[in-house]
Amino acid sequence: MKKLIILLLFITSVTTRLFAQKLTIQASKTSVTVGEPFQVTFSMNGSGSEMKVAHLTDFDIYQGPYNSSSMSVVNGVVSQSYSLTYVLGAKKEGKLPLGPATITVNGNTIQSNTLIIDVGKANANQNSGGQSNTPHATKAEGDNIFLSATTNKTKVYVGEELTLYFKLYFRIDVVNYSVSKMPAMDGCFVQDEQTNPSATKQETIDGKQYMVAELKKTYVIPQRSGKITIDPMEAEFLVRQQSTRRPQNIFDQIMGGGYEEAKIKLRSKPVIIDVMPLPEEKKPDGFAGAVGNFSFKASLSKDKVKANEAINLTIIVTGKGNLKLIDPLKVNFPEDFETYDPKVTQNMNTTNGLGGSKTFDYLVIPRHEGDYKIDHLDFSYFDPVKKEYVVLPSPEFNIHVDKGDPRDANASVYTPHNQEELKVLGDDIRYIKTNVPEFKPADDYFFNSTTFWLGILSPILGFIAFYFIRKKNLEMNSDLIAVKGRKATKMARKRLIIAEQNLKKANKEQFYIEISQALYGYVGDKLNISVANLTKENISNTLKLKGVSDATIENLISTINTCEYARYAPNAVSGDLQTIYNNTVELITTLENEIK
Amino acid sequence: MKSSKLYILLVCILLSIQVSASDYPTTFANANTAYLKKDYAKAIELYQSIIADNQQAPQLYFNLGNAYFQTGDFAHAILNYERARKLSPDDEDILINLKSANQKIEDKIEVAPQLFLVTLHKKIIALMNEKSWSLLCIFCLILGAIFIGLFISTQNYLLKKAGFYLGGDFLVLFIATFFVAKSSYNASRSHDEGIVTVASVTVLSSPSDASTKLFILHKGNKVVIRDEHEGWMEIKIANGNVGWIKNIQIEKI
Repeated sequence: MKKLIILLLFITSVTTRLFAQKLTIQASKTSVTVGEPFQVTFSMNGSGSEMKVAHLTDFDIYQGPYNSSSMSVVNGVVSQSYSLTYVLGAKKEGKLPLGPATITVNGNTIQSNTLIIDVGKANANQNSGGQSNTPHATKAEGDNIFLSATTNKTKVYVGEELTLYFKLYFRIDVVNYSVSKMPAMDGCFVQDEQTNPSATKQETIDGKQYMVAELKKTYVIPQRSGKITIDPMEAEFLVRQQSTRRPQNIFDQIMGGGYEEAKIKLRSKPVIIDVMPLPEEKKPDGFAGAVGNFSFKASLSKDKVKANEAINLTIIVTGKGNLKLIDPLKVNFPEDFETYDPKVTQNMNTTNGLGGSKTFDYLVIPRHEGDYKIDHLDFSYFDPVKKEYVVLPSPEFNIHVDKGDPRDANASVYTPHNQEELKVLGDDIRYIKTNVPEFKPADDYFFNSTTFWLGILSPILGFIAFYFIRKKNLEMNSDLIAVKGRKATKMARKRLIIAEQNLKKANKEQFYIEISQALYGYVGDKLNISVANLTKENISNTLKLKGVSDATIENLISTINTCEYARYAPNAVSGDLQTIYNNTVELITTLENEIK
Repeated sequence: MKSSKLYILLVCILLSIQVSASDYPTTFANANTAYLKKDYAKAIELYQSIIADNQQAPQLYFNLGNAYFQTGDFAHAILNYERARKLSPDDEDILINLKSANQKIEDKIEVAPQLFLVTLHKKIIALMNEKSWSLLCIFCLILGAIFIGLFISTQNYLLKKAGFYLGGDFLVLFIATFFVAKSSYNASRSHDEGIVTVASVTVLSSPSDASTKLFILHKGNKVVIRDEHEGWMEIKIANGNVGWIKNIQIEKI
């Protein structure tokens, strides 16, 4: 095309009269917001080359440059014009200069005026591309193509699933597109759904027919309450559109020119979702965060096993909702059971929302025989449609465990409570002693001190004192007994003399009294036995201890008996008084010798 | 048995003898607080001020040793632990901290094997301190006297027999504990052990700078002092090596 223009210029230049040439800058708007596209045209009458534009650094070039030149011949006067068009967007706020531009014509440099663009704060709502007041190209973007982000619900509960659609509405040909920025969705669980962007539908908005392509479909499950903003999606589209330039010649029109491809950046509007917390009231115990609509089944592989045989408890949760986020249920297995973490398998599908089934496989091994019970399990979820909690109970399970094979038990015995060695975390010295001690002067020793020697000496002295005191006491005591002993013989002799006198008088009664008293008195004094204890038994025992022979004791006892008998019944006793007297004397003599 | 009551009274008096405390408990408590606040320099200063007044207690030396340990002065820590151990040989805390401190010093000396009887004797002496041994000795004597008294005075054959044997046993025990107490007393009075308190010492073969260099000792090493001669000491280290060093390089335990 350029060649064609140059050729035309060349042909016409011969007849061209020189004009005063002028370069101007025109903008579609002088007051814009940041990022808002606007059109700038640098136009010049006449022809020139090497147009240079200064101060475009503050602006993004969205489109362009599109150059156009025109030539008209009016009354033989040829007028030419050349223009360069950009679609720009301001990068920052403030009054930004645009231009000047220079161009060299026949060696002369021509400078243009400078435009001041007043850039205001960006308005988020305008980012959706609704600038209808921009002519030409921007108008095409605003009306003819835009991105929309919509959700099926704007008010959900935590854990409730919603669907987010990104749709492209377009009335112009879209050749290709690429997503440059996907919204980050903090605090949400996101599951993308496969879509087919090439399958388009027709939709009418404000009386205009649009083709609609679903670029993206996402299931979003908010994980926290509050307002969640889904950031805009940004995408670049390559569109084919009618050239803003008028077809300049017949060739263009014939050859189907006038279309050009352009890159358009589009952003969707941010979407705000109001996330409500789950109601606290009537919240069941053991609620694990399931929101949706579920059914629940729990089954036991066997209820009669031998010890050390594994049992499987299978819990299947089926339904629609945030199934992926359901934690394994806490099952209260009997303490004696060996339990393992459940194996979780999920089978998800995304037709008409997130759904599917999730299976928890609990493996337990009873280690001892007996009857066990697994308490009924409650699976609870929140139904966002009914706005209430639903509790699904399972039956109780009774397990009968028989005695296991002892060899088996040995083979698979597992001791979960290994005694561990005390773990030493740190190494430090023992802490200081905080109790206040008893201070004593250095070189103050107990051994060799006066108190020590006193302590040694006093028991020795005490012992010696004790020994002598005892000795003296003993001596005194032994004297008393000796005196009594000596007295005994004397007394006995006295009584015997009286008895002898009675014998001669043949006073039988008095004789026996004297004899028995002589014997009793002698034994009592001799053996140091008090009168109260002076029984025959006591006497014989004491005499035995003193080493007196049994014959003598028997003799003594029989003599005493005879005397007592005679005293109370004098006539009944026969026998010679002289013999008894002699016997008694002999007895006392024998006792005197035998008592030691 | 009137006299036995007298003995009990006597023992009670002996046990109740306490050194009247002045302000040392306060200083000690302040030092402990400083230690707790990790102000070890101040704690050391306070503990030392008590020692400077010629006062001693195993706890005092132990705490001072701990404070030195915390400042990284292991030689003085060992010195004070050893002093504490001398006063209270059966305290487990002291032994453990002493062991920790000994692991921190540079020298590791293989202890030369000792005769079984020597170690046994040392172990027996280390069971209690000098005072406890002395008290045990007196106690044995008192019991011995009581049983012999029983032997003499009783008429009962069994009691007499028991009195004779028990009395004899206690008298033998008395003699044994007396000698142990004496050894313990001698050991705690003697200052024949020392700790190297300078970073590095060259041990010489005779008390003269010009003599042959034998080996090098480092800070914290425990030595036995065998002889002293004009500012020099003949020392013996745990593995049996003997040599001479200057007495300023060692602090006696």
